[in-house]
Amino acid sequence: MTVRLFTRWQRTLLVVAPVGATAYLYTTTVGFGDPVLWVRWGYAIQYTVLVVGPLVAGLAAWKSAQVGRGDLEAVVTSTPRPALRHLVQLAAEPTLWTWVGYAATGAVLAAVVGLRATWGGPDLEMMVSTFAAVALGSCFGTAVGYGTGRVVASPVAALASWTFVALVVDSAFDDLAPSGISLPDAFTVFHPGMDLGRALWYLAAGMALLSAAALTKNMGQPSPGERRTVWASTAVTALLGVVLVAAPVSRSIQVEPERYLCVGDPVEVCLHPAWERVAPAAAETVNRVVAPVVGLLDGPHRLTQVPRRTDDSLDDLTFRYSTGRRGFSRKRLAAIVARRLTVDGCETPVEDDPTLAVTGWLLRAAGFESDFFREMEVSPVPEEVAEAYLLRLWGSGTPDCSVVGDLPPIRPAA
Amino acid sequence: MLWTFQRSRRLVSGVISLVVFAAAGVVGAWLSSGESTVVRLVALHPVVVGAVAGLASVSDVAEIEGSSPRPIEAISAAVVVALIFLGSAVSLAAVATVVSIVPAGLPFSPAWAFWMSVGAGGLGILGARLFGRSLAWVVPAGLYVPMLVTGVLRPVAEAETLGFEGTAVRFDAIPAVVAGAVALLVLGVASRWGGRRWRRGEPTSRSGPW
Repeated sequence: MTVRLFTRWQRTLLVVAPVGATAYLYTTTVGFGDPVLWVRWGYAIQYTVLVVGPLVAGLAAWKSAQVGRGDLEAVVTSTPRPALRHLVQLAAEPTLWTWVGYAATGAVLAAVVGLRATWGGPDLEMMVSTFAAVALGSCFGTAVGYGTGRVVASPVAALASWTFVALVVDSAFDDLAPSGISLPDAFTVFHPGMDLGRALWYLAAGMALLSAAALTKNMGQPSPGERRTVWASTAVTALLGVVLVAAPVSRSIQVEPERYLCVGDPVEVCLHPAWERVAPAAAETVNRVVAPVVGLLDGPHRLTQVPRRTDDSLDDLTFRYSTGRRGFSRKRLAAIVARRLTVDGCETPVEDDPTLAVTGWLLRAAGFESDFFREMEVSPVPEEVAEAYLLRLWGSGTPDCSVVGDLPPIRPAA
Repeated sequence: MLWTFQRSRRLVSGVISLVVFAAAGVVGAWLSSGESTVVRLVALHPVVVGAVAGLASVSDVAEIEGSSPRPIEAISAAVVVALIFLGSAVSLAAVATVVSIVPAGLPFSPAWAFWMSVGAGGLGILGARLFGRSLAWVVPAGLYVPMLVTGVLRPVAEAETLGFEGTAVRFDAIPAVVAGAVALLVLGVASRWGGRRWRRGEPTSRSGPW
């Protein structure tokens, strides 16, 4: 028996539309500014589960509560098929509709990304784990709704799911969460197999919840098959849960590419190949910022983008810049490079750092000053002072960090 | 009579839910060294207020109450509005407590939480009118979703220390939130108790308008 409580348009409105809207909202706020990365395609799809999963749980609970409440329970339990099979059918409908929404949204986003990305490819494992997480949400909602049969089942299922998300994401149990919260960059590689393991865990946990609900509400004697399903799914859930939480591998790692894309003159800027579309603008920006330093004795001749800060040689400086939701920003890259040139590994005061004034001067010289001095509440430093500082920092064989202490205070004395 | 009134609207369990969710946020702040978990828990509270208001805005025995000579609909509206303000006060108290535990952890103020809860309560009533009381939470959840996707969950980018583009979003526009919250509350109350629908009989609405 299939219980039909939604009409076609209502299913579309309640399930597909939120998935599409959430994905759209995500991609426009966190999104796909250049450089477009394939790794963020999978991440965008996966991240929306944090919103959509509880939504599906609530809708599934609302629907199954009407069965569990008694209106249709007698029909379900009096039919020859086991209650578990009915619950699987109940959970399947919201799941399938949401999968349709995800597949459609994923295909559109894949087309957008495929046209603009210059590196990597789609991570289908992330899509699989997303689909499985949706199924878990639906199973949880169905179990709560059928098990309680109450009006409050729907909000309870949804709010409990959001609470689970709130507690698990970015915690010690983060590997059980359907998505992380740190935006991946070009260097991010998701561990192969982790998402498949998570997907299996979600499906096993979903089946365990449905079996438990079927057993608790079943009027007759549970069949051997139902008992076996409960034990098997519970065992797999517990085992996989322990493995996922205890596994000594993180969700993702940072990996350097086999070759860098190097452009620019006189200072060569080496970037991750995924940055190909913005490489000329990045090289031009960097060269404008480093111009006051290039002529100095040991000024940098190459700047390399790296996943994390590494030891630099004096002629090969590194910087770390992963784009945010607005994509590549000349202003932000300029600020990062200027800061790097100003400090160069020297320790600076945490508060009222006088080197900030030199950073601001470099940005002003490159035409990127904008509101730096006002936002950072820093007084502009005279040109001769900034140049003298940079000359001493970059002019000797090794960085002379003692010059940091010679800079004037960044705020006038009261 | 009073017991029937509260039971048909789940007022006691609603108040308990409001306090339990708020307490979870405070305990989370107390136990957690990280800030993002606390932010997510506390930010969820207005949705709870909306769900509770939606459930309380429709009675299990609406048809019987409709035949009562007493002006029960006005009392019902007043009780739901009072419940919303109680929930909002709980939100405010929870955020104020969390702020005292994690001083720099929250991207919003206690006043913001109060008015968001007021607005969510209005949306909860509206949700009950549109989708039935079971699905009333769907509409106020719309307030939580933007917070999830615009950055409350996300750690601040390191470049923000330079005063340039960051990823964190702060929610501090109190005048706009107050105006929006009052408008949503009025909209919710008007959608449920406005006009003459009550005289024609309120649907008990287990499953919404379809």
